[in-house]
Amino acid sequence: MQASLPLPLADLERVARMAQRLCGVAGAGIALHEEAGIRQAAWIGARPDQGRVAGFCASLRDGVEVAEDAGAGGFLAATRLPGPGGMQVASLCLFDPAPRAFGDDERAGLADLAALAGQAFAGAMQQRAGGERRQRYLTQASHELRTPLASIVGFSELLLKREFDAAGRKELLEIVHAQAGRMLKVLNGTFDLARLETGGRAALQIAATPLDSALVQALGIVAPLGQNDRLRLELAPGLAPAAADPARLAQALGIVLDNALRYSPPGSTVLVRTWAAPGPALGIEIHDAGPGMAPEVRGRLFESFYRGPGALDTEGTGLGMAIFKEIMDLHDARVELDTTPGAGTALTILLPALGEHHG
Amino acid sequence: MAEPILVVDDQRELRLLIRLSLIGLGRVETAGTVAEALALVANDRPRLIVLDVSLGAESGLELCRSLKSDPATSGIRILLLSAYGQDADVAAGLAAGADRYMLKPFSPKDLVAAAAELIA
Repeated sequence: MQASLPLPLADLERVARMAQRLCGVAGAGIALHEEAGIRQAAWIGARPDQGRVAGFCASLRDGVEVAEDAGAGGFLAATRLPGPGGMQVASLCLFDPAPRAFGDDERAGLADLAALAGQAFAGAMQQRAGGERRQRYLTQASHELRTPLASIVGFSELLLKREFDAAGRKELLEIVHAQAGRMLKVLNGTFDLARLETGGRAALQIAATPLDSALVQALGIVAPLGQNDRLRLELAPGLAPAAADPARLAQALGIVLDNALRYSPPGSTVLVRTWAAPGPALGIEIHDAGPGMAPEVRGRLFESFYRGPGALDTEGTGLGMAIFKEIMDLHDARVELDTTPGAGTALTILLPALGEHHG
Repeated sequence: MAEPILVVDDQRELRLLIRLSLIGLGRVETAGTVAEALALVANDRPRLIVLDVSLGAESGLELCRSLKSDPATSGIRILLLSAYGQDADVAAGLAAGADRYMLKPFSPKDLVAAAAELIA
């Protein structure tokens, strides 16, 4: 539903004004074709009656169409343009009480203006989607910070106001300390993700990065779990280097390895495989024998703060896979997920190799 | 034995915090899931439920709504706790029938005062 797109849009009014001036007509506007009928998204100057716009616009094909029959109500001219929703259509309409013809220049100008209006719709939709995403993210971030803060505020107040024996005091202080650490993790993850999103690819230090050395670094990142003996490495020899930011690539691989080790049964093997792929690209597969994912979990895997069922007792923040995906996107890498509940998860990355891209 | 206060929160730390906070008001029982909460409600009808809005994958809001719409349990006072503080969230909590809505983090002193008021 895009009914809530704020109308009129200033950019559309500007397009209408330009069309009005270009063709020297009494009125011009942009009509949005909705299921319920035609809505005027912007209009400048004289207006025809709504019913005529509807009847005319509904029959529009591609290109500029002019209703020359004029009649008592004046004439209408219009051209189709892409509306805000994928399926939606809009039109740039002209109106004047006096009939007139349109030259090729005017038709070409109208087509250009219609394209501008289409871009304005797309921009407005994108902006709105971005605003909603930011709001959701902020709400979720606030929730993730308030939760550990509840323990910190609550237990510290109890410790200040009540008497506890030494063991009780220690237990509560340990919770306060652990929850403060959790808050720090959420904050760090939040800022890291924001830094990646705002910095974009330009903030990466892209260099010739041997995949093996990025993997060695990633192994170092997950070493504190004490589970590296569960990793089985099948690394192709003589691979071309990746076009990657070495630290970010290692971070991304570390996140996936951490998840694979954490969410699979103790003692089970996690396979890490690399190969040369066409493109040229480098293939990396991380395959665990974990519980796999239901479609709902899989669909939300890269969402910020999303934590799958069964994640309750682990230390994750729900930001890892969002950070992983952002790093992969910035590297123009393709990520594929092959997972079935009960049958483990294979995550495949196709990372562009350095050079040869443009011949 | 008097009717207990029931604390429902999916986080162990929060269950402990709320239990310690309210212990001066009488017996406090705790539950981490909807199923545990329903079992306790059935066997040991509480006079007050301190209920977290989101219980991992389960919804405390839903539990609140179903308890409040069942005549057998609608008399139980419910204090909703939530880490979501938008006006719409508070409205949703009250619409679900909650008697009180408190935001995390909270001061144990305030929680005690609110709970005492609800069971007075």
